[in-house]
Amino acid sequence: MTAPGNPPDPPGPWPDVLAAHADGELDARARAAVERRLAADPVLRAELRAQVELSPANWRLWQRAEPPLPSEDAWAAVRDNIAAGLTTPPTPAVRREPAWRRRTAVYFAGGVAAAVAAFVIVPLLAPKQVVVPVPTPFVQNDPLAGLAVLALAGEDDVDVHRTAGTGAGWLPVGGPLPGALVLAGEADVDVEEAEPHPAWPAGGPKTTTAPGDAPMIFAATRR
Amino acid sequence: MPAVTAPPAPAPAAPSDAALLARSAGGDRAALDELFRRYRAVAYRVAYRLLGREADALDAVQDGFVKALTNLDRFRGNSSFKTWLLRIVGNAALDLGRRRKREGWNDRPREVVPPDRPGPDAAPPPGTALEWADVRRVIECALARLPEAQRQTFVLHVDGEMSYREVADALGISIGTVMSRLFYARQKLKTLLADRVAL
Repeated sequence: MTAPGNPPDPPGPWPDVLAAHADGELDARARAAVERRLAADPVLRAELRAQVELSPANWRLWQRAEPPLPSEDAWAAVRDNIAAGLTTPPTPAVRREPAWRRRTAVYFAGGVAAAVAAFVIVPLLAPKQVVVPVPTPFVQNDPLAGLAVLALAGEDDVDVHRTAGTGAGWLPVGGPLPGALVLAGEADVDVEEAEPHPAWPAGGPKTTTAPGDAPMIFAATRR
Repeated sequence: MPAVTAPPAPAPAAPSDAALLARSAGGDRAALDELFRRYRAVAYRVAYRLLGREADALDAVQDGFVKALTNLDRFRGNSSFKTWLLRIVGNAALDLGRRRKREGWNDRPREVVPPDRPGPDAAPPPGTALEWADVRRVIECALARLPEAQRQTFVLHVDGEMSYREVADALGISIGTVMSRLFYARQKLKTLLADRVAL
């Protein structure tokens, strides 16, 4: 919370903001806020100097190590291929479906076959009996109701809990149960920002820290 | 009395991207060539930094231009054509890089350590000057070790010469995420490169 007379909070975590300031990328309001804090804080001024040195504008070596330029013949070939690509109707690419989608299709086909068998063959074999309709389970307060959700795992696969160490807030994660489907690890998923929430520090949770945890990804598209 | 001479006629203004795109969509080859000439270098620089091979970078540039121009209905002019193009070229380069990896094209050197040069953790001996090609390879290796999202963000900003806002628009992320990715990318690059080359 900002005390009266103090400069406002920065528009993000200080190191990121100082780097953006060193790049000259802050708008006038954010720049003024940062400069007020810099005037009062020698530690921040030293950090800013470090960020200025790290600014790509000062990476003379980077700028001099430019990629080798293609020959004019190579450019001409690319240009002609682009022109040809724009005049040729695109050939539909033959894409191989991802493994999980192929597996899902197989399971779906198996399920359909089983259902057909259940409805067509079993009544022929079994004695007639009164069928009692089973009510569909009703889930109250489903937080995902109305969202298009890709069902990757159910409650038997994942132990949903909250991560620690994300400041004042928390991030729901699913830890795979023993022997269950492994969804994704930190090498597969890069959670960098979530929707703003008052409980979270600026920028929101950056990543999960517990090994083996899989960040929960919710679809944002309404059904 | 000296004769009054008329000032030279101003050079005709270069056509805008929007005008070139409209003409190109109508089949004007000269407009397409001008668009290509205008953005080929920056697109190539971005693709090269993401792939590290000239031939692959040219493939990504070609693929990116074709996709950018055939999907103009999704562009809608919300950002500049350069932003739209570099977003697609960057994605094409990352796709190609992943494909190369799957196909086992690992001939791109991960670490270049010539026998008369220091190892990755040692400082170069005084007076040793790395050739520019070696410096470029060291930079490529360091870039390749960044997470893909950080690498793409960093390359679009530095080599694509895009502002934070343009990078955010190109990648569909917030400015805060751009700031965060760039901060961590440059910290890692500084660590990775500090022992090898003087920035």
